[in-house]
Amino acid sequence: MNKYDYIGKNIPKTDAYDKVTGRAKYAGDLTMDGMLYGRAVRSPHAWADILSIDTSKAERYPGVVCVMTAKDVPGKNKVGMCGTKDIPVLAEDKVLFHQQAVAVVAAESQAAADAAAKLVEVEYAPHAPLTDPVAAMAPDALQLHPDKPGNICTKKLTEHGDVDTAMAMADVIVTREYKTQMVEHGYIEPEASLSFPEGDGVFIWSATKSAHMDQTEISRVLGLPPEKVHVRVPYIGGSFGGKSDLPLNGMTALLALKTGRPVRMTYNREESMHVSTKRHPMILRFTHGAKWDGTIVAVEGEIIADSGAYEGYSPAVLSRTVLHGSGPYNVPNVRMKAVSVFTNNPITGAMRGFGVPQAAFACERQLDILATKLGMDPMELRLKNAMRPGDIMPSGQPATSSTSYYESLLIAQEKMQEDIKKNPLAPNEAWGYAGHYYGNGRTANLNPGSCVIYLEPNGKVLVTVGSPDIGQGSNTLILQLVSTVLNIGCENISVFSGDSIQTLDSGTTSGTRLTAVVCRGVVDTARDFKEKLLESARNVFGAPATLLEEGLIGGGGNILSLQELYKELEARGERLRVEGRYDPPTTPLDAKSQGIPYATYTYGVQCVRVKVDEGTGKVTPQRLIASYDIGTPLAPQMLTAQVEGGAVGGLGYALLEEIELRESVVKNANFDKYLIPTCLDICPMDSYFTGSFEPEGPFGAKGIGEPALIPTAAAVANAVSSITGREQNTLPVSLERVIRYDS
Amino acid sequence: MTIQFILNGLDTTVEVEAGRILVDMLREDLGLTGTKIGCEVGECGACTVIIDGRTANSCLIPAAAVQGKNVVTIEGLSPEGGPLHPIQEAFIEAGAVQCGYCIPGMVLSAKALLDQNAKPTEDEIAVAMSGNLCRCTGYRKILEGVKLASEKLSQAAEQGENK
Repeated sequence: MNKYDYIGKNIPKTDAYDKVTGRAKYAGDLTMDGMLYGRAVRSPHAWADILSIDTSKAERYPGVVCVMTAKDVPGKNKVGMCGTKDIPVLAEDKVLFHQQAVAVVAAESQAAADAAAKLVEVEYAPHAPLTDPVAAMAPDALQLHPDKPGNICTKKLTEHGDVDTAMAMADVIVTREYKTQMVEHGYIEPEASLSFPEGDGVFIWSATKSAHMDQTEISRVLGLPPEKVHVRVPYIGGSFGGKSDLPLNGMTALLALKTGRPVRMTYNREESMHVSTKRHPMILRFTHGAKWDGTIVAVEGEIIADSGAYEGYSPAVLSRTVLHGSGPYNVPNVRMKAVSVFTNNPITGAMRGFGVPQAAFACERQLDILATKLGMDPMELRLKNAMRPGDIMPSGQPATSSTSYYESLLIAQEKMQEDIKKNPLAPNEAWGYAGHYYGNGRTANLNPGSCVIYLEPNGKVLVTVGSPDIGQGSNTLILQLVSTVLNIGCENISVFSGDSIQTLDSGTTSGTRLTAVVCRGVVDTARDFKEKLLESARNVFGAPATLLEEGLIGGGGNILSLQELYKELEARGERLRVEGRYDPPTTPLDAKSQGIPYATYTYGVQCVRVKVDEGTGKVTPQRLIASYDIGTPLAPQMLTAQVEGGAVGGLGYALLEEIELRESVVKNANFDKYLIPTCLDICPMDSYFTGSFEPEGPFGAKGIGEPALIPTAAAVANAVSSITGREQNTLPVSLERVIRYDS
Repeated sequence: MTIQFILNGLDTTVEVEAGRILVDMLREDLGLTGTKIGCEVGECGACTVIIDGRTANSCLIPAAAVQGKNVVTIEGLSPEGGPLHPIQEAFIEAGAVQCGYCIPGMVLSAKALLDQNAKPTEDEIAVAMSGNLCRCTGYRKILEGVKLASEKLSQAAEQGENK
């Protein structure tokens, strides 16, 4: 057995020391000699034509070094997360959302930049904003983007089987409309960026989930080749699908190149909450058809989402919504149609769950309502229809061999029964539960987890990946995996990530792809590295070599340290650098989303025991059970940390959080009015895992990041509905909705 | 204006503009960036420092208000190259650290609690930590970290008494 086998073990996170001591530097903590401070000039209107911009007063303000507007952008003034590059870094002839950046000031102090930003005079011709996606689709609605008729941002469809025929033959049909709210990522670190000229290009310290995406997008704005844009990720204070704010990086990079000096910008919380992307609010009309025995024969969904002012991540988010809409159930006939509509609301983007929390809310509420109508236990209904290995998914893809949703339900059922036996339920208490599944990685897209491993002059092994560790612990997991493969102690291995020049692009840290995709790439590369290492050593020894413990290598009666081996190889003009990648075996999807969108899926169920005070409407979660099929638990502490963090995010989504918009303006743009859970809002939580093994994953593992949040809100709503006898089909399940069901 | 106070055990004198906020003085004038800014309205607790034994949101306090007082920031808990404070060790062991942005404030809220109340109950821990927001961890492992720290500190104190 290997001395270094870290599968299923916990090691201290590689970033924890810096973080507990306060020495970890985030983008807003960085300073440089001669650094300037930036502040954006932002629109007070949600929709307006820009008639003129006068920067002269601001330019004369003491300490101001430069003021830039769209006309100063040397490249193409458009960035975007998906295919359409539609967001200007600085608005040109119009603004389409409140607080959109129109100009940016750089000054010797933050105070001077802030003061001067107020002196930029912009003349606007405002329009009444499009606040509602349904109204924005109306034939007579004004159009926000000339090339997007009907304000349609994107349409997605998943269709499998014959829904109409199956629905006509169903014994029971349940149709309901569900509404989910716009919510905020709520990372505690507001966005920040520091850029400075480097050679004939620019270096950007960016709080981002992808240095490479920032590089691609910002190089276009600057009119520079990508290799002149060096993006590095410092410690990042939370992402959850958000960050970077591409216009922010555009602004600091533009200012740095213009002034020849370092420029730092840090958003304040209000600025962050006005301009950062949000989770799509959706209206979901779902119909389930079932036989009297509980067999679900067809599911149909029609979904309207709000894209906000620009495309953001809408196409990618809606793809997932329609693929996952019918839930982790073996349903032969599925039709899910979604449309996302432009409005003047904040841009909606990627947020933990990527369009699936909304779908899971509708789907899992439907199942509880259907169970009631069938006179069936809701758990029995789920068990009866649970997706099993080989079942055909709505994409036409067979469920993989690791699929163990059924087992996760059984565990959840047992744990709830144990709890009820110990603590019988009062009349105002109930367990509610909801299942879900989630494809790991990007949807039907090139998705490589790339990695380069080097033998360093000091004999240590350096592992590099592009995808930054955003605090969830991917660098630590990579360290554990490489140590296990090479049987070398962690102290002899270092991991470097998140640099657009010094690491290969291994994709964004999103889409629950770090464990399943990137770490699989790392493990494959490490195995290859080991072979190459032994081959090189065999050439040195003239005899077969063996990797010994403690970073020693032996062969032909000799033993060398890896440092000595490096020198031997150097003398021969060799350097050990092994590049590898894993790209999951997916296929493109056709117009009905048929194909193989993901190589593997995480499944799971969350159960929440809830108490309702029917006088005040207060809902108190008392205990949470999470039961997941994530394949092999690679690092249990980081795994349960993801489950707990996701579930509490889900409790916030269920009960507390909602971006309040008035005429497309965010009215609760700070944590005093936008409430996220505190430690007094949580409950005891226990996580269980089915012990499945995923052949595509590293050592059998699958991802957990987003699945951890997806089912929580539905579970809470199911519990509250069963206690009060009134259907909770709108999020959040607020006090008012609990007391009085008329919303 | 001149402000004299004790910062992390050292007599400190700083020249600041009138109206300077404490967190800006710490971060910008003294380079102590372990104190974070999250909301500037006293809701998130990322800027938590300890003033005369009690936690305070340094984003709400004028720098002038610490004149003559004893201020502890995260940088005061473990000297560069020195051992970690037991609370810091406990947070690492409990897996309480993810993005880490809230952690300096969390550690200081824990310290202020444990300095006053060496063996707090779970409810007392939760109340003491409720002014610090975290979006990553779901708080379980942070609360476990505080409990573990309390055990570590109690053990250390008992060993000290037995010496």
